[in-house]
Amino acid sequence: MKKTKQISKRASAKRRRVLSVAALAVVLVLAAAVVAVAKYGSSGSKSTPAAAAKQANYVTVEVNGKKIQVNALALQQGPLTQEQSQQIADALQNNKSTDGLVQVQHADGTVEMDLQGRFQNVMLAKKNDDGSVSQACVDNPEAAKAFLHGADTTTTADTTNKTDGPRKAALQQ
Amino acid sequence: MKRQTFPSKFALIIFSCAVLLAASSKSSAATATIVILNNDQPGVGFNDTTPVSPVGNNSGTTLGQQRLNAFQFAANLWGATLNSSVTITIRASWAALSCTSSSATLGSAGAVGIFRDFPNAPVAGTWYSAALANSIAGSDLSANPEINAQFNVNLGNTGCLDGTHFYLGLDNNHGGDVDLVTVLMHEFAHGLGFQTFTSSSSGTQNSGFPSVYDRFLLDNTSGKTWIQMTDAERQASAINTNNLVWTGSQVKTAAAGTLGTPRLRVNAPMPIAGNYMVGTADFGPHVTSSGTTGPVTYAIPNDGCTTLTNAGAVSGRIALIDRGNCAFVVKVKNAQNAGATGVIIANNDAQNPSAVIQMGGGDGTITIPSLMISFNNGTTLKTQLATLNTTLFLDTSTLGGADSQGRPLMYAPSPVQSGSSVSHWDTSEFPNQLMEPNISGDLFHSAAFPLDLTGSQLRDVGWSYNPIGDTAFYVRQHYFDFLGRAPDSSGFAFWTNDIFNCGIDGPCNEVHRINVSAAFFLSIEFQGTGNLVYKMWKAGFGNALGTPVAVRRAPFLTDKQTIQTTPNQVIVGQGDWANQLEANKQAFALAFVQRAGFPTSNDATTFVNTLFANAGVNPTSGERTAAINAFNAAGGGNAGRAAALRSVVDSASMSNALFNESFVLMEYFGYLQRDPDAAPEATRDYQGFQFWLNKLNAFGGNYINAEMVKAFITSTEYRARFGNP
Repeated sequence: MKKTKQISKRASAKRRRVLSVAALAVVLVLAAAVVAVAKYGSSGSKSTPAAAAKQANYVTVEVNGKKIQVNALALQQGPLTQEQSQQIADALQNNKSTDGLVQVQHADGTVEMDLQGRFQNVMLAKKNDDGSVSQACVDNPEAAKAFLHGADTTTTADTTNKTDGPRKAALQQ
Repeated sequence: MKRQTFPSKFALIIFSCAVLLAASSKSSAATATIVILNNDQPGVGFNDTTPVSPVGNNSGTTLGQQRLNAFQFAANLWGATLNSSVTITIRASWAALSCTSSSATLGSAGAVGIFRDFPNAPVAGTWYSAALANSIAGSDLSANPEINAQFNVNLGNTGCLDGTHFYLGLDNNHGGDVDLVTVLMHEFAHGLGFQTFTSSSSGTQNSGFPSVYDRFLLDNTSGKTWIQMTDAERQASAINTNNLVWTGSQVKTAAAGTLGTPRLRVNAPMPIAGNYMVGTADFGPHVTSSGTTGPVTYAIPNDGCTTLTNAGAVSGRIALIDRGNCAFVVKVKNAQNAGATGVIIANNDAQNPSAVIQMGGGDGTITIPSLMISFNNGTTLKTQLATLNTTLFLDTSTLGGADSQGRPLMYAPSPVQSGSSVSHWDTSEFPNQLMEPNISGDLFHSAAFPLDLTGSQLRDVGWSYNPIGDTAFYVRQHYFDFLGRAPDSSGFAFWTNDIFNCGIDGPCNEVHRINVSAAFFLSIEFQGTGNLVYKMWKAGFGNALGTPVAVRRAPFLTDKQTIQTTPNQVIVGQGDWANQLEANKQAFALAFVQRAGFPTSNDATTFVNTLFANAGVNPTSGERTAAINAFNAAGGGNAGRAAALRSVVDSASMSNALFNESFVLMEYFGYLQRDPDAAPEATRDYQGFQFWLNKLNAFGGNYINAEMVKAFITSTEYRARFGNP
């Protein structure tokens, strides 16, 4: 009986998940349709992807009780939460610290320091609003947070005047 | 030089030898050995036994093996250019690193340890990364590995940058995925020495000692390097945007030939001639300082989204294509398939008629350069198509991302932005550089100038470094040494890929480097120019006084340049090259027979016999008759002599008889840039030349078995031309 109940509960949960996923799919398809209409109805959107990105509509959907922001343009999950980016940045918290690092002097005068896994360079990646992927190599939490929460830095101007920060080219034709 | 047609005899020799050597020869001529220490548990990361199909020259058949191959490939790219007697060990593993559906930690790497005041240390009291310290000391200073690397085992799975995977191919054809080899090259470079151990945020030196990297960080505002500053000054310098530069001499020299500003130059018609602002592409080769020049044809369809229906008109020319309706890579690929040598994309944004954008996308099979021009400029060009001639090029008079003295800017954003401060080049550098904080899609698997400054930076901090181990540099250098010109995009891609296709197969790599090198001598372009010149000298004048060869290097180079460029600049595979080359040959021969001392007989038989005799060649009766007929058919005189000369030097007997002699001589001219008897030749005579000629003859012209090409390209004299031998 207990076992049956558990199975029933799991089946019920599974049904809910299926329904949730189906609902999400419907939302995404609708969003895609809206975007498609908007895209072909706007003659200026191709040339200004950065501007378009800033105006992107994020649709909030609920899956298994969890609210997720979905970018209607790219059908990708929305921007990181502060908590999520903090988690990545925290990993770099002591990366440049020398606290506890020891200098060992050898007989020939050589001085060695084992960095204990610090001073590492970390390559991060994030999906942009148009679905493309940007990468940035960081070595401190501030830089990590700046990348993960930074503004869209799509280059839309002359590439001879490249902007600071990772660039993202227009994949669009 | 494009895909060259080898004389069948030599192609057979090459193939045979390649097969033999692939099975028997020693490992690749890497000058530093970098090994990957697999630090993964069974079944994880490198040990993941999930079956996969080989991809992009990565022959691994399990996911773990492909990962390991990609690591080793990236390590080998560095190992081929760095000199170290101490093995560099990279302790590598895969783990579940932090990620979400839309972001991820791809991986991390860095030095395991640092050293100062070790034997041979160039500067006292200064931190060096472990691999560099070992190399300089000439001994392994620690039992630890030199570099750590850990990458994300879940990338691409649900919840971890969903759907975007590491591309494990070795051919850079990563499309929208993350090219693991490029990321590894970047991160390994940090571990090798592209890094300070001084805090950018506080300015504090590690335990009170500077890093060797700090010696080359110059703040243009204060005029001080980082080792001359207080902590507070370094702290301020780290965010002194556009004013922090790299002052190392190697980088500064390399920057002058690497950095620039991409432009479109209209050569004709005159009313619209000049330079135009452009947007660049994330795919295909960078534009070069020598550029891609040609007449322009408007693609049909104008958007280039389907197979071009006017391929005949586009072939050998630069295609003009409108932006819109499909991805940039589709347009450029269609133009390439039609035979275009380059592409100009005209922006379709009439609302921003002066704007250009950076063209995104990825396709490793694109081998021609492309640039975007504005809507307005596109309109202008379209009205002048009848006589329109343009050059897609890199204007090296304006270095992109350098200060007024040509020193590259370091990344010093204020406030702190994505990308760690100062241990990267600034993002304003053009072309995109491997060690900018972001990885751009258009990076080549090269860290040597003139594509990239990273190798030069490592040399500045103390590495013994030689760019000739870099495949792109190696191929490019052959264009200059043998063809006397910059590489054309498609030929360059063909020959670099020929070597890259070996992946991590060391013996294959060695054989293909030799074969690619020899191919430049065997190429249609060289055979039709340089080798033809040599045969003409031999037929016209015999051997130069006191030497076993027909011509000295100086007059040879002048003549080779003439026949390559007069009246047409010939690049085999581009435009109407065959007819242009023939016109050049005729013009050169006509002038050559009028030189002082050239045989002047007006009797066809006497003249032809003299030419063969000068060369020491016994022709067939048919060859002799053909030359005599050519003399007579042209009406004798200079025209007759020129025609007969062409017939003689093109004869099989002449070509076969002089092949080995010319081959050996060109090794001296090309690789060593000198005459065989010139310094530093110890005996200052032709003993060395004769040794190699005898050996090549003994091996029936088989330059691989004779180890002739290998001997030249691995010689200290050759390597010293480019860096630390």
